[in-house]
Order: sequence, then structure tokens, then C-alpha cells
Amino acid sequence: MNDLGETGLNLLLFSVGEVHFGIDSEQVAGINAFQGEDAGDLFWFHNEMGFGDATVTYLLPTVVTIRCPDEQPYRVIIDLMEDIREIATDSILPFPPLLEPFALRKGMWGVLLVEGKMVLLVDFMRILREKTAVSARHGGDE
Amino acid sequence: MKMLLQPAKQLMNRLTYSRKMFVAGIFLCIPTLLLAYFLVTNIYEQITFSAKERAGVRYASSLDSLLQAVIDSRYAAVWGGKPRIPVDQALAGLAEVDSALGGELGMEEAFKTLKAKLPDSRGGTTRQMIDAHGAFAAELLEMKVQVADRSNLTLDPDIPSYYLMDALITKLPPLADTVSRAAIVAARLSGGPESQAGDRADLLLLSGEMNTLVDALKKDIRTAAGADATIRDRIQKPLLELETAMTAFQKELKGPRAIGLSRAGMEATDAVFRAALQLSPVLDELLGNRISTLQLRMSVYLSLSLLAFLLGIYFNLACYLSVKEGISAVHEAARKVSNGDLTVEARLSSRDEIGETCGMFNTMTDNLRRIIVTLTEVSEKIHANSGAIASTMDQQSGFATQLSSSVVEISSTMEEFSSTASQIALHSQAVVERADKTLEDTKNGAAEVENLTFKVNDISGTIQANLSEIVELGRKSKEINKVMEIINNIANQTKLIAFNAALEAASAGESGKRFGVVAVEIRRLADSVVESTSEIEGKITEILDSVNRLVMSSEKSFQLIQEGQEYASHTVVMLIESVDGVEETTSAARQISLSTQQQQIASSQVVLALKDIEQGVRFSTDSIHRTNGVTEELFNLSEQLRDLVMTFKVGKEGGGQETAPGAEPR
Repeated sequence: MNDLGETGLNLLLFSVGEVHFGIDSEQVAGINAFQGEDAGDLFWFHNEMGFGDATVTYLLPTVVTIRCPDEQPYRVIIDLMEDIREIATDSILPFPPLLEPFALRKGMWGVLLVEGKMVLLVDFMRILREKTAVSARHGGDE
Repeated sequence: MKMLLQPAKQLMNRLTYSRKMFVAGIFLCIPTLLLAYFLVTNIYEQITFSAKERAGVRYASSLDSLLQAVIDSRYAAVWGGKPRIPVDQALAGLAEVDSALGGELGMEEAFKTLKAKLPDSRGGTTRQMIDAHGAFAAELLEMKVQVADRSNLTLDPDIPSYYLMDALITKLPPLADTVSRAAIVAARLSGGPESQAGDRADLLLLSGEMNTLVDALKKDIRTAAGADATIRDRIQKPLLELETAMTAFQKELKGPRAIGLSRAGMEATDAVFRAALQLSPVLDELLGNRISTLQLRMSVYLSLSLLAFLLGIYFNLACYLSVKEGISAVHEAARKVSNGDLTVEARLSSRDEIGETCGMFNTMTDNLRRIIVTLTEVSEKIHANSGAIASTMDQQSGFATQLSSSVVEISSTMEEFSSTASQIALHSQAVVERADKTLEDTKNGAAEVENLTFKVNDISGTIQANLSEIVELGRKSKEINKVMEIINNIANQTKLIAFNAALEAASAGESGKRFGVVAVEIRRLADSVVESTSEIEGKITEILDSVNRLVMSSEKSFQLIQEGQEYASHTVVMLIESVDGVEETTSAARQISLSTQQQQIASSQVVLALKDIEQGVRFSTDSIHRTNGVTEELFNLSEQLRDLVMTFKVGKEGGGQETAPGAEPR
């Protein structure tokens, strides 16, 4: 439990390409410095979020290891970790109904204002499930 | 003479010509009428005079009849018998004449007196009767003279009538009375009953008186006959008969026979009265002829006066009409000319001064029309030329103004140029001095540059040493940068550890809260380290940049110093060469100074000349302005002249009517 009881949530805040994001610290198993390695379970955050063809510069790439329930390895390279902050869940704002289906498909489930900055809350587990479902559809098609 | 005519002239000057002619006619006709009046009045008075004479002749004839009756009565008293003409009858005839003419002649009182003195034939002796008749006869003679005086017979102007009057009034009646008395005296002397002592003497006196009267009568008759031949025979015949009777009576007076004497006396008396009766018509005829002549003359005078008056009026009217026609023609023509109509022609055919004036007036209007036409053309040309001159003068004024402005600008520029030349002269002198100083400075500079070359070589060596030190400093700074990278990596790793610790603390719940606080502090410390290392890196980067710039600057300075060394060497050479150049420059500067001084003098002369030109241009501009003003005035005058000329009507050459050429009719 945290200070805010059932309504509290610890968020790991970082930014990629000058866009602020936040993930539930419960989903993070560990943080390591990116050494330039290349592995099958290591993904760049902008590719996972579908930034498209936009060129994103990582100033201080950091590898976040996602805590997966089925021990499936899943690591994402993020940039500029800023803080781990405890926030109240009622301060989280849902996406507008028009955007919510699209946002959920990209793993974004809410919006939070922290010190005047808009922080998009990302659910890596949802992203992982989407990736798994897509892989399954691709495998069925083959 | 002029002073005398001045009032009449002033009066005439106030009258029109028609009134002048009327007044002149009046003053010319009045004397004519007055002259005619005086002439006719004079003639009328003469007629009246003569008519009164005729009345006197008639009255005197009646008196002769009465005298004859009285003498008959006296003869009857002497020799018995009855008188042939009764005195009463003769007196009645005289009364008739007196009633008709007595008032005119003023004889009423005399006639009454005469009637009172009429003798009474019925009473008294013979002698008394003779004396009474003699006294009455004397009264008659006196009355006859009185009639002659009152009837102007004694004032008769003509010789025939006057002498006939004299014979009839003063000669024949006294002769008859004298003859009668002489006969009576002679009769008494011949033995009559009442002879007296003085009869013989009386008879002699009466005889002498008769001779005197006959002689005087003969003289009167001759004079009248000599003056008027037409009456000569008619008046000489009674005279001859009277002379015969008188001769016979004179013979009887010398004889003793009383009967013959009485008959001769009566015949002589009758001859006297016959002569009177014959002469009286002649005198009356003469008077009638004179009256007729005077009446004819008066008629002629009246006719001539009337004719003269009518002719005067006629010719005065003709003169008036002629003058009026001429003056009206001149007046009408002059009025039209005064209204500007020069096409008018004064038409008059008279040959007098007014006709000549009309001719001269027409000539004058012709000349004036030609002058106006010429003047119109001239004024138009003047107008056009004055406009062109004004335009040209405006342009010339503009040019002159521009020229003046340009001259002023040139003058100002030349003054500045002169001033600049003066300054250049001064400066060139200063340049000369400066060139001298430069020559000296150049020589000194060459030596100094040579010393500078040595100094620069020293500096070059120093800079080269400093450059090596700076390069070493940069290398060491890079080494510090590497150390800082290590520290930064450590801080990042520490930060990651702190994040992992925080994650672990967060996942540990309440028990990991203190650890989380420590992790947070470590992360913040790591952030501080990262920030400090970043700042150090920034400073080192700045140092490296400064070192790089310093190196580059030092290298550039070294290069520049090397170039400076080369330049200094070249400068020494050039300075040595410049000494010669500066010497030439000094000489040239002196030449420039002299030339500039000459140029300054020339510029001053040019400035003076430009001032003269400027003054001349100003005078020219003023003159152009004045000329422009005169031209404008000329233009205005030509306008006025054209307006003035346009008031005249001069007509076309072909006789048509139009106003002055080039002018709009008004």
C-alpha cells in the first residue's frame, strides 16, 4: 500500500523525443544502461509506440525490463528517466471517447498533468498483449 | 469792339442755331419794319399835311366868294343896284364849308367872330357902308391868312404850290380889295357926293399898292410856272387877263368918267376873282398830285417793305433751313461718330462753310476710319507681340532667374572653392611642412622599424613558446574531460542504481519506504553529480574552446608576426625607398602649394568676376522684370487700346458695316 491507499500509484516518468511518458513502476523489473547491445527481446520505445518515420534522438538511452507474468522476456529502451513519483489515481484523466480506442491500441490508457506537463500513461503489458495477438494472427495466416 | 460784342456773343452762345437764326431774323426784321413804319408814317403825315392844305384851299375859296360878295355889296352901295352875289348866300356857302372843314382847320371861333362882324347893309350912309364893308373885308383877309396858316399852306414845301398859295392868299384877295377901294375912291374923286380931302392921296397909295400886288403876283406866277411847266399855261392865262383888266382899270383911274371907272373897277375885280378861281384848282390839283404821289410812294414803300420783310422772312427761313440742314447733318454725323460709328457720312450738297465742313468732316471720318483700322491692326500686332514679348520675357526672366541662381551657386561654389583653395594652400603648406616632417619621421621610422623587427622576432619566439604551453594545456584539459566522463558514467550508473533501488523500495511497500527515501536522495545526489560534471564538462569545453581559439589565435598571431617580420623587412626597404619618394613628395607639395596659391588668386579673381556676372545677371533680371512690367503694361495698354478701338464702327472695305477688325461687336 502507499500513502494514498488504494487510489495511489507509483509512476516511472521519462521522456522520449521531448514527449513525457509514465509507466506503472509495478510493471518495471529493472533499469539498466543501454550498452548498445542488440537482442530479440529488446525494443526501442518509439518503435513500440509507433512514432512512425519520425527520427527520434535518445540522449541517455536506458533499458527498462518489463515484469512479464509468463516470464516472457520483454525490454524497452527509453530515454531521460526523470523521476519515480506517487500520484492519486483520481488525478488520471481518460482519453476523449473519440481517441480512446486508438490510444488503447497503442498501450496509452490515461493522461496526467505533472508540474504543468502532460504525461501519457503507458501500459507495456497491453502493448505486449497486442504484440502477442498480432504475432498469433500472423502465425495463423501463414 | 470785342468788348462791345461780348454780351451778344454770350447770349448767342447759349442758344441753338435755330434760335440764333430766329433772334437774328427778328433783329433784322424789326429795323426793316421800323424803317417802313417811319417812312410810311412820314409819308402819311405829308399826305395829311397836303390834305389839310387842300382843305385850306377850299376854305379860302369860300372866303374868296364871301369877299367877292362883300366887294359887290360895296360896289352896289357906291354905284347903286343889287350885288350879283348876296353876302348872305356867300356866307351860307362859307358856313357849309366851315361846318365841313372848320373843325379840321380850327376856324370855328374865327368864323363865328366873322359872322358877328357881318355889316348891316340896310342901315347907315354910303360912307358908313363902305367903311363897314371895308372893315369886314379886312377881317376876311385876315381870316384868309389865318386859314392859310392853319391849313399849312404857308408851310408848303413845293415851289409851285407855295407861290400859287402866296398868290391866292396874300396877293389876289388884297388886290381885289385894293381895286375895289381904289375904284370907290376914284369914284368919289370924280364928283361923288361924299368926296373927302384925303381921297386923292389914298387913290395914289391904293394905285401904288395895286401895282405892287400885281408885280408880286406876276413874280409868284412866273416862279410857279418856272418851277412846274405843266401848269404854266393854266396860270399865266389868268394873269394875262388880270393884267389886261388891271391896265384898263389903271386907265380909267386917270380919266374923269365915273361910269367907266366903276365898270373897269368891277371888271378888274372880277378878273382878280376869276384868276383866283382859276388858280385855286391848279393849286388843288398840285396838292392832289402831291397827295397821289405820296400815296403812291407810300404804297411803293409799303409794298417794298412788305416785300423786303417777306423776302427777309423767306430768305431767313431758307437760311435757317439751310443752316439747320447742314448743322443737323453735321450734328447727326458727329453724334454717330461720338458713338463710335465711323461709317457715317455727312450728306450735304450746299456750297457754304457748313457744306465744306461736311466735306472736311467726311474726309476726317475717312481718315479717322483708316487710322482706326490701322490702329486696330497695329494694336492687334502690339497685343500679339506684347503677349509674345511677355511670354519671351517670362521665359527670359525664368532663364535669368535660373542663370542668376546658377551664377549665385557658381559664385558660392567658387567662394567655397576659393576658400577651399585657401585651405588647400594652407594645407599644402602644412603638407610641405608635414612632408618635411614625414621625411624625417620616415628616416626615423625606418630605424624604428628595424628595431621593431628585432622585437617582433623576440615576440615570435615568445609566442611560439606560449603556443606549446597552450597546446599542452589543451591536452591536459582533454584528459580532465575524460576523467569527467568517467565520473559522469559513475553518476549515471549510480542514478540507475538509485532508480532500481527506488523501484525495489516501491515494490517493497511500507517497509521499503525508508530505503526509497535513501534511493531518492542517492538519485538526487547522482543527478547533482551529473549536473556538476555537466557543468565541469561545459567549463572544460569552454576552456578547450578557449585553448583552441587561443591556439588558433596564437598560431594566427605567430603567422601574423611572421608576416609582420616580412612586412617590417619590406617596410624598412620601402621606408628607405620612401625617403626618396617623400623628398619628391615634398618638392611636389611645394609645387602644389605654389600652384594652389596661384589657384587661390585665380579663384578670387573668378569669384570677383562671378560677382560682377551675378550683379550683371541681377541687373539683367531686374531689367527683365522691369521690361516684363513694361511689357505687361504695354499688353494692358494694347488691351485698353483694343477695347477703345472696338468702340468704333469702321465698316468693311466693300461698304458693309462691321466693327473694328479683329474685335467682337459690342
